[in-house]
Amino acid sequence: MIDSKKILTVILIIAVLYIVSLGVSSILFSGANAKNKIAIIPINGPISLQDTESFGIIPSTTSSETILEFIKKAKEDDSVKGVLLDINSPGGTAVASKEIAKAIGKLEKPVVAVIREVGASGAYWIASASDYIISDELSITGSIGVIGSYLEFSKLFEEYGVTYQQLVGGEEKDIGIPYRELKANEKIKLQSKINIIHDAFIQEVARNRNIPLEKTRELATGIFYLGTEAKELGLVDGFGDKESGIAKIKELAGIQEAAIIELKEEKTILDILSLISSKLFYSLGMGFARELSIISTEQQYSIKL
Amino acid sequence: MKTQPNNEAAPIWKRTIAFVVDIIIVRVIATPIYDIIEKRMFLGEPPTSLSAMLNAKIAPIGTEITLLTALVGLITLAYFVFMEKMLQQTIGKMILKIKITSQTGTMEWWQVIVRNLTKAFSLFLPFFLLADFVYLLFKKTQKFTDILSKTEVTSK
Repeated sequence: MIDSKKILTVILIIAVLYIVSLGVSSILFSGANAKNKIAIIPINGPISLQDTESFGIIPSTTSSETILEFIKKAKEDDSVKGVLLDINSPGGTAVASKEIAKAIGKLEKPVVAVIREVGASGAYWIASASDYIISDELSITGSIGVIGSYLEFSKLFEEYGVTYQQLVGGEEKDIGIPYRELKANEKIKLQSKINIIHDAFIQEVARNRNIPLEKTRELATGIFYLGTEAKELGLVDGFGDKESGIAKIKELAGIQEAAIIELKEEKTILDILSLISSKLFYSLGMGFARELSIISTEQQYSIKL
Repeated sequence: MKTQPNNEAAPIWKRTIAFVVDIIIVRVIATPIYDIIEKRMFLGEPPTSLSAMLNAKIAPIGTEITLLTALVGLITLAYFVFMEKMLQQTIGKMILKIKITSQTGTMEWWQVIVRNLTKAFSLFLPFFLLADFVYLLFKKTQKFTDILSKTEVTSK
């Protein structure tokens, strides 16, 4: 026999809990159902083309590959009305910084860069491509310069009786290798390449920020500027934090409410499992491979912003 | 509510199926909250299959998702607590014809809360729920939280 009192109690409990669930979600989190989203893209640490990882799993750099993927997602998702670049980076390689800046420039949605502690060099190049730059008064920014310096050990080697035997096909193949002194003509060649990159950097910043080229060149000594100085020089537009950045995006996009979505590189369960197994086998193979390794000059010498 | 002690412990398989049924019911009750969690966790459309779920890029766990997950925990706790306090059964237990009995004679609020606490934290700390279940596998008659709350699950 059906106990009607029992059924009534069950219905009552379920109904009350459903109403609570519906009420709480619609009152407290109505923003999630909104059609508008603001995507936050973090740019942390050194910028490179590909991820380097700590403990084999956690990314310790910002890779342009990942950021480009995030920008693509934000571009394709119609509900994303704007992008906030959450920058805390000292810069990175020239190509990685350039391709991120280029992708941001092409994004037809409002982009606001928020420079936290540091947004210097390559990170500033990226910020300059946004529509509006916000920093803290004490943020370190600017540093429009290129560095290709490296340590050279030839004298130290001499002291210990270690000699470098040059065996190259192409006399400049080992240019920039730390085991021998750089020749005068080689130094000129490397310096000219650095100058080309520096010039491209200056031109991009001048165009992105609408600052006269000559003025930008004067600012581009490689020195960093504090937020207050940067604002006076026209390198940033205002002071604030992430909240100010979100408010600015809403203003630029002409929206009142938006759900905030933080895009970060996350590993899927399958990624983590495959990474663990591949790292294990890689480590096993490393022992054998180490003795036979060939390190290219390009790995020894790198130019960074 | 007065309860009648019954020494015939409900078999583990019945308890497990009843729990699965209840979890499905709670999932339905908390659908509005789960909908928001899905919207917050994925930038595009939420994945619709298990393989898509495994390959989906999951957003980092932020304060909002933590709060929403806590709300699901509270709804889960409320479902089990109110059902067991008022009826000595949940819907799953009704279907499987099993019920809760108190070893103290009267089913008190603290007892139904204590025996269901691990369910409230199952999304955050599934280890405790799992450990409770593993304990049941060894003990055969009571989970650890059953012992703490002085309750047992018996066949009707």
